[in-house]
Amino acid sequence: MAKKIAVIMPAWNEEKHISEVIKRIKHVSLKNKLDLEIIVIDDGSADNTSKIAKESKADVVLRHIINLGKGNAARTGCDFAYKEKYNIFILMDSDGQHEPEDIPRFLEALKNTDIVYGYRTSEGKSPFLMSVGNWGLTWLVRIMFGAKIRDTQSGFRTFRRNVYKQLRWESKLYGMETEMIVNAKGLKYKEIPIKTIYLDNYKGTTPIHGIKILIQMIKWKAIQLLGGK
Amino acid sequence: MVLGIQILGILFALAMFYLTFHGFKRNQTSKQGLALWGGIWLIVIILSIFPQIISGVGGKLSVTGTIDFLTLIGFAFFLVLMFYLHQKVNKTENKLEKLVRTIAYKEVDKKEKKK
Repeated sequence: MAKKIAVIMPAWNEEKHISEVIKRIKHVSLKNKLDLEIIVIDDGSADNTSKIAKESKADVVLRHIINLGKGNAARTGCDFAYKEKYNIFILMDSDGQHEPEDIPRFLEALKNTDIVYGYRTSEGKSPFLMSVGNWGLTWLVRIMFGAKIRDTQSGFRTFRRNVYKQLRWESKLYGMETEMIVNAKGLKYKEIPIKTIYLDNYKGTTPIHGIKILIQMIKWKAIQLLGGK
Repeated sequence: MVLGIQILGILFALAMFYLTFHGFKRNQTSKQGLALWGGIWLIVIILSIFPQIISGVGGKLSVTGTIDFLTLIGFAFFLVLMFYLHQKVNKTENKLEKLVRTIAYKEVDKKEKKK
Protein backbone atom coordinates (compact mmCIF):
# COMPACT_ATOMS: atom_id res chain seq x y z
CA MET A 1 0.00 0.00 0.00
CA ALA A 2 1.39 3.44 -1.00
CA LYS A 3 2.53 5.62 1.87
CA LYS A 4 0.12 8.46 2.46
CA ILE A 5 1.92 11.64 3.43
CA ALA A 6 -0.04 14.39 5.16
CA VAL A 7 1.26 17.95 5.02
CA ILE A 8 -0.51 19.49 8.00
CA MET A 9 -0.72 23.28 8.01
CA PRO A 10 -2.43 25.24 10.77
CA ALA A 11 -3.45 28.63 9.37
CA TRP A 12 -4.75 31.82 10.93
CA ASN A 13 -5.50 34.81 8.72
CA GLU A 14 -3.15 33.60 5.99
CA GLU A 15 -5.12 34.60 2.89
CA LYS A 16 -2.02 36.44 1.59
CA HIS A 17 0.35 33.45 1.74
CA ILE A 18 -1.56 30.21 1.77
CA SER A 19 -2.24 29.96 -1.96
CA GLU A 20 1.44 30.31 -2.80
CA VAL A 21 2.46 27.74 -0.18
CA ILE A 22 -0.11 25.20 -1.44
CA LYS A 23 1.01 25.72 -5.04
CA ARG A 24 4.64 25.15 -4.08
CA ILE A 25 3.79 21.96 -2.19
CA LYS A 26 1.86 20.64 -5.21
CA HIS A 27 4.83 21.46 -7.41
CA VAL A 28 7.19 19.60 -5.05
CA SER A 29 4.78 16.65 -5.00
CA LEU A 30 4.72 16.48 -8.80
CA LYS A 31 8.41 17.07 -9.35
CA ASN A 32 9.52 14.45 -6.80
CA LYS A 33 6.68 11.98 -7.47
CA LEU A 34 5.53 12.18 -3.87
CA ASP A 35 1.97 11.52 -2.78
CA LEU A 36 1.61 14.63 -0.63
CA GLU A 37 -1.86 15.47 0.63
CA ILE A 38 -2.38 18.93 2.01
CA ILE A 39 -4.47 19.34 5.14
CA VAL A 40 -5.13 22.96 6.04
CA ILE A 41 -6.65 23.78 9.42
CA ASP A 42 -8.20 27.23 9.38
CA ASP A 43 -8.08 28.28 13.00
CA GLY A 44 -11.00 30.69 13.07
CA SER A 45 -9.58 33.12 10.53
CA ALA A 46 -11.34 36.45 10.01
CA ASP A 47 -10.24 36.56 6.36
CA ASN A 48 -10.65 34.24 3.37
CA THR A 49 -8.05 31.66 4.38
CA SER A 50 -10.47 28.70 4.04
CA LYS A 51 -11.92 29.88 0.73
CA ILE A 52 -8.49 30.45 -0.80
CA ALA A 53 -7.16 27.13 0.52
CA LYS A 54 -10.09 25.34 -1.15
CA GLU A 55 -9.64 27.30 -4.38
CA SER A 56 -5.95 26.40 -4.35
CA LYS A 57 -7.03 22.76 -4.22
CA ALA A 58 -5.85 21.82 -0.75
CA ASP A 59 -6.94 18.19 -0.29
CA VAL A 60 -8.65 18.79 3.04
CA VAL A 61 -9.65 22.07 4.67
CA LEU A 62 -10.74 21.80 8.29
CA ARG A 63 -12.22 24.90 9.84
CA HIS A 64 -12.38 25.88 13.50
CA ILE A 65 -15.36 28.20 13.92
CA ILE A 66 -13.40 30.13 16.56
CA ASN A 67 -9.68 30.59 17.11
CA LEU A 68 -8.28 27.91 19.43
CA GLY A 69 -4.55 28.44 18.98
CA LYS A 70 -1.80 26.81 16.93
CA GLY A 71 -1.40 23.81 19.22
CA ASN A 72 -5.08 22.99 18.98
CA ALA A 73 -5.16 23.53 15.21
CA ALA A 74 -2.18 21.23 14.70
CA ARG A 75 -3.82 18.62 16.92
CA THR A 76 -7.04 18.82 14.90
CA GLY A 77 -5.05 18.21 11.71
CA CYS A 78 -2.92 15.41 13.16
CA ASP A 79 -5.91 13.68 14.79
CA PHE A 80 -7.65 13.77 11.42
CA ALA A 81 -4.57 12.43 9.62
CA TYR A 82 -4.23 9.67 12.22
CA LYS A 83 -7.89 8.68 11.83
CA GLU A 84 -7.52 8.66 8.03
CA LYS A 85 -4.46 6.40 8.37
CA TYR A 86 -1.81 8.66 6.90
CA ASN A 87 1.62 7.08 7.42
CA ILE A 88 3.78 10.19 7.57
CA PHE A 89 2.92 13.56 9.07
CA ILE A 90 4.67 16.75 8.00
CA LEU A 91 3.95 19.77 10.14
CA MET A 92 4.69 23.13 8.60
CA ASP A 93 3.58 26.74 8.78
CA SER A 94 1.22 28.20 6.22
CA ASP A 95 2.67 31.69 6.22
CA GLY A 96 5.59 31.08 3.86
CA GLN A 97 8.20 30.82 6.64
CA HIS A 98 8.89 27.19 5.73
CA GLU A 99 9.99 26.23 2.24
CA PRO A 100 7.99 23.35 0.75
CA GLU A 101 11.07 22.54 -1.36
CA ASP A 102 12.65 21.16 1.84
CA ILE A 103 10.02 18.42 2.13
CA PRO A 104 11.99 15.80 0.13
CA ARG A 105 14.98 16.32 2.47
CA PHE A 106 12.75 15.77 5.50
CA LEU A 107 11.35 12.57 4.02
CA GLU A 108 14.83 11.32 3.13
CA ALA A 109 16.04 11.97 6.68
CA LEU A 110 12.95 10.22 8.12
CA LYS A 111 13.84 6.91 6.44
CA ASN A 112 15.89 5.64 9.39
CA THR A 113 14.38 7.56 12.25
CA ASP A 114 11.12 8.40 14.03
CA ILE A 115 11.09 12.17 13.89
CA VAL A 116 12.95 14.87 11.96
CA TYR A 117 13.25 18.42 13.29
CA GLY A 118 14.10 21.38 11.12
CA TYR A 119 16.47 23.90 12.69
CA ARG A 120 16.80 27.46 11.47
CA THR A 121 20.26 28.48 10.41
CA SER A 122 21.79 31.88 10.93
CA GLU A 123 21.31 32.53 7.22
CA GLY A 124 18.38 34.92 7.02
CA LYS A 125 17.24 37.63 9.43
CA SER A 126 14.99 37.18 12.40
CA PRO A 127 13.81 39.77 14.94
CA PHE A 128 16.37 40.17 17.74
CA LEU A 129 13.92 39.49 20.58
CA MET A 130 12.70 36.30 18.89
CA SER A 131 16.28 35.10 18.38
CA VAL A 132 17.11 35.69 22.03
CA GLY A 133 13.90 34.06 23.22
CA ASN A 134 14.40 31.10 20.92
CA TRP A 135 17.97 30.61 22.11
CA GLY A 136 16.84 30.86 25.74
CA LEU A 137 14.06 28.28 25.37
CA THR A 138 16.30 25.90 23.41
CA TRP A 139 18.94 26.12 26.11
CA LEU A 140 16.35 25.57 28.88
CA VAL A 141 14.92 22.49 27.14
CA ARG A 142 18.43 21.08 27.01
CA ILE A 143 19.03 21.75 30.72
CA MET A 144 15.63 20.61 31.96
CA PHE A 145 14.91 17.66 29.68
CA GLY A 146 18.29 16.67 28.26
CA ALA A 147 16.95 17.06 24.70
CA LYS A 148 19.80 18.35 22.54
CA ILE A 149 17.61 19.94 19.88
CA ARG A 150 19.14 22.92 18.10
CA ASP A 151 15.91 24.84 17.53
CA THR A 152 13.03 23.87 19.83
CA GLN A 153 10.64 26.47 18.44
CA SER A 154 10.89 25.53 14.77
CA GLY A 155 7.52 24.19 13.64
CA PHE A 156 8.83 22.42 10.54
CA ARG A 157 9.08 18.75 11.45
CA THR A 158 8.02 15.34 10.29
CA PHE A 159 7.26 12.10 12.08
CA ARG A 160 5.74 8.68 11.54
CA ARG A 161 2.17 7.77 12.34
CA ASN A 162 3.20 5.14 14.87
CA VAL A 163 4.81 7.74 17.14
CA TYR A 164 1.98 10.27 17.01
CA LYS A 165 0.22 8.98 20.12
CA GLN A 166 3.39 9.41 22.14
CA LEU A 167 4.06 12.87 20.72
CA ARG A 168 0.49 14.13 21.02
CA TRP A 169 0.52 17.40 22.96
CA GLU A 170 -1.93 19.20 25.23
CA SER A 171 -0.62 22.72 24.58
CA LYS A 172 -3.11 25.02 22.97
CA LEU A 173 -0.72 27.63 21.61
CA TYR A 174 2.99 27.76 20.74
CA GLY A 175 4.07 25.48 23.56
CA MET A 176 3.20 22.51 21.33
CA GLU A 177 6.63 22.49 19.65
CA THR A 178 8.41 22.24 22.98
CA GLU A 179 5.90 19.75 24.39
CA MET A 180 6.43 17.50 21.37
CA ILE A 181 10.15 17.42 22.13
CA VAL A 182 9.48 16.61 25.79
CA ASN A 183 7.07 13.83 24.78
CA ALA A 184 9.55 12.46 22.21
CA LYS A 185 11.78 11.03 24.94
CA GLY A 186 13.27 7.74 23.80
CA LEU A 187 12.45 8.24 20.10
CA LYS A 188 15.14 8.34 17.41
CA TYR A 189 15.47 11.71 15.78
CA LYS A 190 17.47 13.70 13.23
CA GLU A 191 17.83 17.41 12.58
CA ILE A 192 18.18 19.13 9.23
CA PRO A 193 18.92 22.79 8.52
CA ILE A 194 16.25 25.05 7.10
CA LYS A 195 16.26 28.70 6.07
CA THR A 196 15.27 31.45 8.51
CA ILE A 197 12.41 33.40 6.99
CA TYR A 198 10.38 36.03 8.83
CA LEU A 199 7.65 37.76 6.88
CA ASP A 200 5.64 39.30 9.71
CA ASN A 201 7.26 40.66 12.87
CA TYR A 202 3.91 40.78 14.65
CA LYS A 203 2.92 37.15 14.31
CA GLY A 204 4.33 34.07 15.93
CA THR A 205 5.77 33.55 19.38
CA THR A 206 5.91 36.73 21.47
CA PRO A 207 7.79 37.25 24.77
CA ILE A 208 4.49 36.61 26.58
CA HIS A 209 4.22 33.24 24.81
CA GLY A 210 7.82 32.58 25.81
CA ILE A 211 6.95 33.11 29.47
CA LYS A 212 3.89 30.86 29.12
CA ILE A 213 6.04 28.15 27.51
CA LEU A 214 8.52 28.45 30.38
CA ILE A 215 5.73 27.97 32.93
CA GLN A 216 4.50 24.94 30.96
CA MET A 217 8.05 23.53 30.92
CA ILE A 218 8.17 23.72 34.71
CA LYS A 219 4.82 21.90 34.81
CA TRP A 220 6.05 19.16 32.42
CA LYS A 221 9.25 18.72 34.41
CA ALA A 222 7.21 18.32 37.59
CA ILE A 223 5.01 15.72 35.87
CA GLN A 224 8.10 13.95 34.56
CA LEU A 225 9.64 13.82 38.04
CA LEU A 226 6.40 12.36 39.38
CA GLY A 227 6.60 9.67 36.70
CA GLY A 228 3.86 11.09 34.48
CA LYS A 229 5.60 11.94 31.16
CA MET B 1 -13.35 45.72 66.44
CA VAL B 2 -13.21 49.36 65.34
CA LEU B 3 -16.68 50.83 64.73
CA GLY B 4 -15.69 52.30 61.37
CA ILE B 5 -14.67 48.89 60.05
CA GLN B 6 -17.90 47.35 61.33
CA ILE B 7 -19.93 49.97 59.49
CA LEU B 8 -17.86 49.48 56.33
CA GLY B 9 -18.35 45.73 56.59
CA ILE B 10 -22.14 46.12 56.86
CA LEU B 11 -22.31 48.58 53.97
CA PHE B 12 -20.09 46.36 51.79
CA ALA B 13 -22.23 43.29 52.48
CA LEU B 14 -25.44 45.21 51.79
CA ALA B 15 -24.05 46.51 48.49
CA MET B 16 -22.98 42.99 47.49
CA PHE B 17 -26.33 41.59 48.50
CA TYR B 18 -28.05 44.17 46.30
CA LEU B 19 -25.80 43.26 43.34
CA THR B 20 -26.45 39.55 43.89
CA PHE B 21 -30.21 40.11 44.05
CA HIS B 22 -30.06 42.33 40.97
CA GLY B 23 -28.18 39.60 39.12
CA PHE B 24 -30.86 37.11 40.14
CA LYS B 25 -33.65 39.33 38.84
CA ARG B 26 -31.82 39.62 35.50
CA ASN B 27 -31.42 35.83 35.32
CA GLN B 28 -27.64 36.14 35.60
CA THR B 29 -27.62 34.32 38.93
CA SER B 30 -29.52 31.13 39.70
CA LYS B 31 -31.64 30.51 42.81
CA GLN B 32 -28.81 28.44 44.23
CA GLY B 33 -26.34 31.26 43.52
CA LEU B 34 -28.63 33.75 45.26
CA ALA B 35 -28.98 31.42 48.26
CA LEU B 36 -25.21 30.81 48.47
CA TRP B 37 -24.00 34.38 48.03
CA GLY B 38 -26.91 35.84 49.95
CA GLY B 39 -25.93 33.56 52.83
CA ILE B 40 -22.30 34.69 52.62
CA TRP B 41 -23.24 38.39 52.70
CA LEU B 42 -25.61 37.75 55.61
CA ILE B 43 -22.77 36.09 57.55
CA VAL B 44 -20.57 39.13 56.82
CA ILE B 45 -23.29 41.44 58.21
CA ILE B 46 -23.76 39.31 61.34
CA LEU B 47 -20.01 39.14 61.98
CA SER B 48 -19.70 42.89 61.42
CA ILE B 49 -22.45 43.56 64.01
CA PHE B 50 -21.28 40.86 66.45
CA PRO B 51 -17.47 40.56 66.03
CA GLN B 52 -17.22 38.85 69.41
CA ILE B 53 -18.39 35.64 67.67
CA ILE B 54 -15.08 35.53 65.80
CA SER B 55 -12.96 36.61 68.76
CA GLY B 56 -13.80 33.38 70.57
CA VAL B 57 -12.91 31.20 67.57
CA GLY B 58 -9.82 33.26 66.76
CA GLY B 59 -8.60 32.98 70.32
CA LYS B 60 -8.78 29.16 70.21
CA LEU B 61 -6.69 29.22 67.00
CA SER B 62 -4.15 31.63 68.59
CA VAL B 63 -5.00 34.42 66.14
CA THR B 64 -4.82 37.57 68.23
CA GLY B 65 -6.74 40.21 66.23
CA THR B 66 -10.28 39.83 64.85
CA ILE B 67 -9.20 41.60 61.67
CA ASP B 68 -6.26 39.21 61.31
CA PHE B 69 -8.58 36.27 61.66
CA LEU B 70 -11.05 37.70 59.15
CA THR B 71 -8.17 38.35 56.72
CA LEU B 72 -7.00 34.77 57.03
CA ILE B 73 -10.49 33.40 56.50
CA GLY B 74 -11.01 35.73 53.54
CA PHE B 75 -7.69 34.70 51.98
CA ALA B 76 -8.44 30.99 52.38
CA PHE B 77 -11.91 31.49 50.93
CA PHE B 78 -10.57 33.27 47.83
CA LEU B 79 -7.94 30.60 47.29
CA VAL B 80 -10.63 27.94 47.30
CA LEU B 81 -12.78 30.05 44.99
CA MET B 82 -9.84 30.59 42.57
CA PHE B 83 -9.16 26.87 42.49
CA TYR B 84 -12.82 26.13 41.78
CA LEU B 85 -12.95 28.74 38.99
CA HIS B 86 -9.70 27.42 37.52
CA GLN B 87 -11.18 23.92 37.33
CA LYS B 88 -14.40 25.26 35.81
CA VAL B 89 -12.56 27.30 33.16
CA ASN B 90 -10.37 24.32 32.23
CA LYS B 91 -13.39 22.08 31.90
CA THR B 92 -15.24 24.64 29.76
CA GLU B 93 -12.19 25.17 27.54
CA ASN B 94 -11.85 21.43 26.95
CA LYS B 95 -15.53 21.11 26.07
CA LEU B 96 -15.26 24.08 23.68
CA GLU B 97 -12.22 22.60 21.93
CA LYS B 98 -13.96 19.26 21.54
CA LEU B 99 -17.05 20.96 20.10
CA VAL B 100 -15.09 23.09 17.61
CA ARG B 101 -13.10 20.06 16.48
CA THR B 102 -16.26 17.96 16.03
CA ILE B 103 -17.82 20.67 13.88
CA ALA B 104 -14.65 20.92 11.77
CA TYR B 105 -14.63 17.15 11.14
CA LYS B 106 -18.37 17.06 10.40
CA GLU B 107 -17.97 19.68 7.65
CA VAL B 108 -15.31 17.58 5.97
CA ASP B 109 -17.43 14.42 6.32
CA LYS B 110 -20.36 16.24 4.67
CA LYS B 111 -18.22 17.20 1.69
CA GLU B 112 -16.88 13.64 1.35
CA LYS B 113 -20.45 12.29 1.28
CA LYS B 114 -21.48 14.83 -1.40
CA LYS B 115 -18.63 13.59 -3.62
